[in-house]
Amino acid sequence: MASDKATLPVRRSLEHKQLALQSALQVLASGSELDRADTPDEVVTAVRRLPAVEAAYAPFPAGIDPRLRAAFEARGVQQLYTHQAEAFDLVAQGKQVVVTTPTASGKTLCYNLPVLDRILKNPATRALYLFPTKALAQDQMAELHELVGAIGKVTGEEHEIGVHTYDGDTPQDARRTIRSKAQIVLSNPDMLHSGILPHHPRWAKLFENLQFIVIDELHAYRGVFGSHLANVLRRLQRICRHYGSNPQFICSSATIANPLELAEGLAERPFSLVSRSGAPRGEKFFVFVNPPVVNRELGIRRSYVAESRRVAGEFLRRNLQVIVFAQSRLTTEILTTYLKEDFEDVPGMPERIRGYRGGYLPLRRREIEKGLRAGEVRGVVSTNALELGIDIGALDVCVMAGYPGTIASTWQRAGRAGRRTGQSAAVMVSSSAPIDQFVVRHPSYFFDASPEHALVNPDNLHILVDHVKCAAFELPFTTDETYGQVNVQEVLGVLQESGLVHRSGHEDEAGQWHWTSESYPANAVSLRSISSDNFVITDHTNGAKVIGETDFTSALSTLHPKAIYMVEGKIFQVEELDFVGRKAHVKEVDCDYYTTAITYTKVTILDRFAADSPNVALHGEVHVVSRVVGFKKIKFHTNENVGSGELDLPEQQMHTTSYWLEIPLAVMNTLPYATDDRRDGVVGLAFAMKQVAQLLLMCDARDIGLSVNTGEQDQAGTDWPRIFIYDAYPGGIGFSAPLWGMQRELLSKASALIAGCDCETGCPTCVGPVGETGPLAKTVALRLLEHLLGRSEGDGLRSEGDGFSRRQGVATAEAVALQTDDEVPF
Amino acid sequence: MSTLDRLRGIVQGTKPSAVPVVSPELARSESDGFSHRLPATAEAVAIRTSDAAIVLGGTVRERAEGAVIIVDREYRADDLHGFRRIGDIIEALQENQDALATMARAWPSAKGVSGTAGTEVPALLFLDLETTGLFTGAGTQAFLVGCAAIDGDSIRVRQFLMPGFEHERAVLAELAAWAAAHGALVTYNGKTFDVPLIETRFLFHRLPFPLAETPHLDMLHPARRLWRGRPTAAGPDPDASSCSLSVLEKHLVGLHRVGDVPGFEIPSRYFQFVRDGDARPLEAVLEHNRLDLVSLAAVMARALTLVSRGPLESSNPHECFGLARLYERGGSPEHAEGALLRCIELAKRIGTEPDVHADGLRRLAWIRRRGGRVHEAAEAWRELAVLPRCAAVLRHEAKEALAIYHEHRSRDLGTARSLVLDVLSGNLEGNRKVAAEHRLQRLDRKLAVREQGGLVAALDDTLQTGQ
Repeated sequence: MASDKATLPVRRSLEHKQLALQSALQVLASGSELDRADTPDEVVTAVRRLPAVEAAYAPFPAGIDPRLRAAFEARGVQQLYTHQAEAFDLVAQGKQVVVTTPTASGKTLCYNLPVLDRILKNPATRALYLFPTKALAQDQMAELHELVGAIGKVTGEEHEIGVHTYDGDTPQDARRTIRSKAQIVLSNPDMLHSGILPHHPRWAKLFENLQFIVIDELHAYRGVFGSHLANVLRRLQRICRHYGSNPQFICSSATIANPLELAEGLAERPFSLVSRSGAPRGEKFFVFVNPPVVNRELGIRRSYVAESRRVAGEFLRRNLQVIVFAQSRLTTEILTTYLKEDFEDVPGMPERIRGYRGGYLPLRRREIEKGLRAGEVRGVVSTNALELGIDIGALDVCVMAGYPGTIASTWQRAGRAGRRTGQSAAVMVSSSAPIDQFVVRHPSYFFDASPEHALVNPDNLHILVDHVKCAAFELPFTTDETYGQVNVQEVLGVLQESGLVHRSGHEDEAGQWHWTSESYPANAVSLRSISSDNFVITDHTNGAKVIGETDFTSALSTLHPKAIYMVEGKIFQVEELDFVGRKAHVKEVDCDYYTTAITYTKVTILDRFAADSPNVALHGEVHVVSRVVGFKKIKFHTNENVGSGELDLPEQQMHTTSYWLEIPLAVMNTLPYATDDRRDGVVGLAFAMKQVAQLLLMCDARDIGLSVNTGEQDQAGTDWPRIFIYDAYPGGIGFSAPLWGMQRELLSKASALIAGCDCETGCPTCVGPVGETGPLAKTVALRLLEHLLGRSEGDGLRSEGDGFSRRQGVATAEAVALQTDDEVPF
Repeated sequence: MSTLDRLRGIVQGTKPSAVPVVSPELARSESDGFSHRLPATAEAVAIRTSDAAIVLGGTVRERAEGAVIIVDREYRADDLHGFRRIGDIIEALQENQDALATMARAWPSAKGVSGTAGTEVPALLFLDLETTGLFTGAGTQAFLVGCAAIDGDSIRVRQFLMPGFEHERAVLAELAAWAAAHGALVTYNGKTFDVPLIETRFLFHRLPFPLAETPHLDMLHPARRLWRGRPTAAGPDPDASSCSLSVLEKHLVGLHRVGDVPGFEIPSRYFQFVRDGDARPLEAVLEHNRLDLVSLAAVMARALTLVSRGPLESSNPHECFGLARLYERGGSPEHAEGALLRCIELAKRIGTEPDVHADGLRRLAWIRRRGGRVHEAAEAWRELAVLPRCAAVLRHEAKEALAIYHEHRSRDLGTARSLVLDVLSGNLEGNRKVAAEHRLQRLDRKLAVREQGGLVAALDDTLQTGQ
């Protein structure tokens, strides 16, 4: 990075801005066309021009309340975008609606319009809005207050439509008023779960008159969080039935592959989709940058953070307003520091470069948001905190330091730059993580393919049982009531065995199940994870101070004795892990390495779901036993392995669902390699498959686990190698079946990832780091894939008809589960 | 693994706090677990209910909404509750309408609880619930509604027990009828717990809440004023400083319960009853509830007597101080002053209670000042400023107040200045320090002007004579 201290020139006209943008892009793309064919092997792998889109308007719907229409007209809005009108009409027809138009397309009006219209026509109407974060609810409240103010101006009366947020920050004395007076309540799923539903009698007015449930940022509710939300919505709809209301759902989502499926999975009602945006869009340039390779042998590239700094600098220097998205809080702070160095503030002037992340005080955040809207803040470095709909105005450029993980989220972030007119740019700078490398080298995967699927599993028994308890507390279950896809009467019977519920009445009549425990079940259920059990991390450097917490599942692999734990750039070492007391005691240290845990995982197949399919890929129920047996010390910057240690920690068990790939012995035997090399090939293939699975499933690295059985452990010596990719949550979260369905894509993308990698014999980008995989891992893995992809059916492949699975129904697999979920510092 | 086994694994794997607590004598044998005997027919349910009523010494009332077990008990005038006669308690409750009016002024939700001239004295309804949990959400029910009222020269306790969860509406209907016949509600911590909880039950069944407009005196609040600061001389009771009803009944009424059921065990006793129909473990719960109700009446009687007769009734400086605060809140500063004087006098006599002594003086000073009696207020401050073993903060406050007095009222600037210097010699921080320094500067300025004052006057004279 050149350390020239650029000075930002004065504000220029729009035309100048466009010239500046193009000039910066020219520099980045080394003079190439601003819309050209992809070049996977170069530093700039893609430069695409997304043309401007004209607005498509529709008149205000005939049925709209004249006051609402007048309020818009008074603000200069004479017509709607087509999608807004479409959503209004569908809502008027009584449909459940999900809207998936891009960022800044006026999506919020799709729900605000019908809701305000209904409230104006009937002030008794109530609406409940759910946002994934408190900050978003605050932001929306400000927007709604403006709209309500505009309506008040038109009608001339103090037309107070009650709009209030209701969350953990709401003062106690305001709550009673909100419960009875607020026509629109803005809240979040956690508050609904533990603060509203268990108190529904006090919210009778809301539930009796509830006509709309609005769920914004629907795509945020996938995996565990989504499965919990689906159950919260089941409870919500139960309560609504009790009060005789039947609210309509209006949801908005980022572009995902299956918005209808997700909405229907969450709300369990049929939905209509509004996906064609009528909003205009300015021209946008999208650039993919892959930092150059600096060590070909180890497959090490230049730091993507340094590269992002250079890219952001090109735009900032030309006085373009830039948002930089970093992947972690730490990276955010570091990039902020770098850019502040490059663009020193003028004393007495507002700070031009700011950081933004969770953990900043709300006041500071509001100040930064305001600075961005006013144009005083020229560059902001943020975590995903600014990805969702917080209003920061229209910026010129978005730089993503690292691939955001999903196509949906990448578009969402890119949408932060560029609004309805004028040019904008988005640059994705890839890190050396496998997913990043796959995407940057296959731009069409991002530009031309459908985005990811968002998956939920509301019938995960662990999650469902928790919510059945909450539901029983809220309202007794009747003996003929149904709940989800499971037999809830059976669940209640088991709860009765533990004395948690009691069936009233007598055998001859339909009775009710009443909650019979003085505990308050919602307190024990956290929507953001499957278990509310967690470990607290205490720093003993100067007295005892709590510095963080970690959920139970990842505690053993991240907080084992001698583990390096990092927070806000500070390095700590775990001195003691108090497993029973759920505490880790750490002290600050000065060292140049971090640690990754070595976990042994044993997967036992319990039940095969896809047993009829004559295929090598299967899915089913498994029992996973894992134990952290040791750890490795990895040097910062170079990622060298500089030592290791052994550990003796308790094992963890889990019953979950898994997808697995069986490699026929016939295929193994045709490989012209030594046994060890064949094994390396399987391990390498597994490594690559997990990365791709993560990509396909739109999930976090820690949502899925990997276990490999290389085939040798079996006593008979005849077992086939198996690669398990399992749901890392007890009971499974719904990844296995879709993964099984996408296996061909999974294998072909794994093949593309490995084949496309620049390294010679394997690197952390494809089959795993050298030193962990053998010298031939890459070659063998590719040969395996050739076989598997070339002959996905038929000869040599086993069919279930041979009685194999019944005879050897229980197979075991042991392997080192490759730890990839630790964020690798640069 | 079958779904049923998996479910069992999941449910039993949950944290133990989710399982009801059952005392050892109540725990059934292991094999019995929480097994549940569902009655076969409606008759079997009815028989169960009437058996329970017999065990508890009550009767069953069938209503359209369901059944209620009603248990009536009478506490006659000559019965003793601790060392108090029931007849005396009743007398205190009925005679001291003026004291009740003071309390109603102090706690506005109790407005209307006392009889005023020309209106009938409202009948008091003492209310105490036993519930299935302490959390006031939709799933917590009141399985026992205990009511007490004065009936002639006895206290009549009527308890409504829910024979099963499905009978809740019947219990609520009985409570509504009973409440309609009474004019005012008395509870202990009822503003926070009992009344919101019972309101939630009415809301749950979407029934109007009959107690919404009823005057409600929550005795916890006056009790806290009067008895929070009791000396712990009574012994090393860890709970001694608390104002729970069970502590107060020991101290004020001399009631020592034998074999009382601990509060945390109450919900599980009821759950056990709904499971197996055996009402015997509930007898202790009903007795607990009855004693709470009578104790509530007794504590209220004691408070009324105290408020009515005034501080001479008490020989405890803390109680007198509390009484003063109560009078103050009830808008009777003149009574408050009397109580404070008694508090100070008692504290002086005892000599080992410097805190309440100081509090008393401070309060006295403020009341006098508010009444415009600045010189008398200064007397109290002066006494406080020299009180031995008094907390430094209070002493500073007293000296500051005296400095103000001397600066603005007595115009004794020299004394004011030395008081401020005295205050500044202590460990002052923040605003108080700034204020004191500011005052010192101003005093110095004034003193300077006063010294020059003579000169200026002389000059004036010269000028005038010059003309």
